[in-house]
Order: sequence, then C-alpha cells, then structure tokens
Amino acid sequence: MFWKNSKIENEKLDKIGKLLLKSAALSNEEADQMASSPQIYNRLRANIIKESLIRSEASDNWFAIWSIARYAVPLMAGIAVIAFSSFWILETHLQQVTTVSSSNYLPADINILPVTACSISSKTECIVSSNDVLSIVFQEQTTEIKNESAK
Amino acid sequence: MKQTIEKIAVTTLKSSSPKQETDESLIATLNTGDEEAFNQIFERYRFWVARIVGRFFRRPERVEEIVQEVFTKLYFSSSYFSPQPGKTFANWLSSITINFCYDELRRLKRRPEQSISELTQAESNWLKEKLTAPQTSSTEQQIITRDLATKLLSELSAEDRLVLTLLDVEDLSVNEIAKITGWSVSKVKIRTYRARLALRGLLKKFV
Repeated sequence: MFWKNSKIENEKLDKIGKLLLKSAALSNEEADQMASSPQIYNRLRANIIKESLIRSEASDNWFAIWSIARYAVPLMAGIAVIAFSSFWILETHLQQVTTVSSSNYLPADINILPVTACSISSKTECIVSSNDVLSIVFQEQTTEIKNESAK
Repeated sequence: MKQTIEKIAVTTLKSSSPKQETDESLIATLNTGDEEAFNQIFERYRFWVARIVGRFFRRPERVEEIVQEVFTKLYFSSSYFSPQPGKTFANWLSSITINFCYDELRRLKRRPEQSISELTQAESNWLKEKLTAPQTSSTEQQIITRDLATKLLSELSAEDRLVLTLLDVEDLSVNEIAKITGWSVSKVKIRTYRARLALRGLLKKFV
C-alpha cells in the first residue's frame, strides 16, 4: 500500500516537474521572434570582429615569442656545443701533454714505482723487504741508545 | 510534443529558405574564407539554434548572447567539422549549442540570480493545486508557472537541468543525449535517475 502511494506520488511529481521544465522553455514562436531580430546579425558580426582582433593579438604575441625563440634556441644550443667541445678538446690535449712530457725526460726502461724501501733499493726487483728495513732501523736505534747509556 | 532536434531542424529549414547548397559544401566554401557562405549558414540555422537555446533560457538577451557565441564559434571552428556518416552538420551544430547552454547553466549555478526562498504565496499555492487538480491554464497561472519554473529549476545542478530538458522538453532518447553531450549511455541514465530524484525532492519541500 505504501509503495503504491509512493509510486503515485512520484508520478505526480514527475508530471509537475515536466510541466515546469516546459514552462521554463520558450515556445518556438518566441524563439523565432528573438532570432529574427535584425540586430542579432549586426551584433554577431561585431562579435566576430572583436574575436578576430583578440585572436590576432594572441597570435602576434606567439609570433613575437617564436621570432625570438627561432634565433635564441639555436644560438644557445651552439654555445653549449662549443663549450662542451672546447672542454673535451682541452682535456684530451692536456692528457697528451703530460704523457709526452714524461716520456721526454725519463728513459724508456724506467718503471715509475711508488716510493717504498723496495723502490729505493732496486729498479727491477725487491731485494730488501720493508720488515728488513724496519728491523735494521730498530737495531741501529737500540745500539745508539745502548751507547748513550754506556757513556 | 514529440519534437526532436532533427525535427526542429526540418521544420525550421522548411520555413526559412529552400536548400540550394548542402551544409557540407557551404562549410567547405566558408573554410576558403567566403563570408557569404557564413551568412547563408546563419540564415539557415539561426532560428533552429535560438529554439534549442530557448529550451534552457527565457531571457531574450541571454538567448541572443548564446546564439551569437554559437555562431562565432562556428565561424572560427568550421574547419574542425568533418562530415561523417551519421554525423551531420546539424548534429555538430546542436552539440556546440548544447555545450554552450550547459556552460551557461553551470555559470548561472555558480552565481544564482534567484533563490528558492523567494517563492511567493501564489507559487506555493500553484504547486499544491497542481498535486490535487492538475488542469488549470489561465494566463495568470501560466505566468506563475514560468516564474516558479525558473526559480525551482535554478536549484538543480547544470547536469540535472540539461538532461531533464533534453529528455522531457526535447523528447530525446538516452542514446541521442549521449551522442550530443558526449557522455556515455550509462552516465546519461544515472544522471536522469538522480535528476528526477532531485526534482522530486525540490517539489516535495513546497507541497
């Protein structure tokens, strides 16, 4: 019973809603009357001219940006390429200079080794180990201390 | 009043001018910069566009403004129209018009001109009367109905108003609405259901 009443009420409300929607709309005659106004075309033309001006101004702005960017972007890219290539050339040139200078002043058969007891003692092979050197140094120090204490 | 957009177009076109050139050829001519082609299109479709806009708005200046906007848009965007089977120029123009109406409804919703709290005693009585005896149509009653309709419908969201107007006033099918608005069919159905609930809720407040 409740559902039936509710359904009937909803149908009534929908009918009223439909009636209101139709009332809120213009009739075809009213709409035609508005559209037949001679002013509407003149205003439309004015609107189109205004819109054209706005669009041309906007495109002018874009053109100005484009005309600057057209030169600026390749220029910046060129500068970047030149800077990168000059750094690269300079770096490779410096490497070549150091290798050339070291080969000029040192004989070809010399191996540059880190300065250790081994490198001091021999060019090619290690005769005295680091432990031997340390033990010799300690021996010398102990004999010196003994001598001083004897005095 | 079973009058779809296509039907409005046919009646309007018959009453305005005999079709000499097709819409598509006129658009092609317009795209070459021929102003006369635009004038012909305007003459052919201005009544039709005004009728569609008139389904949503009553104020003459608003209707005129939207008609102008629609034709301005057409003037600058005619190159975007590409005739396809099932998508005529009339369909394309109706989509533009309805989208403009939808935008205007949304704009009005953000800045409402009338409030539902301003419902007069006569309008309240009319609503109650309609629920008990729905047959009255004097001129005075019609004016009350129009004012009431404007106030009540301004409370609906733009989507609700759009979908209900297209369904109940234009008598379009769900598929046709989906095609015009670009919404999916299920979205149109859901929106219709919600719109009906919202309108019932609004009416119940005052009955």
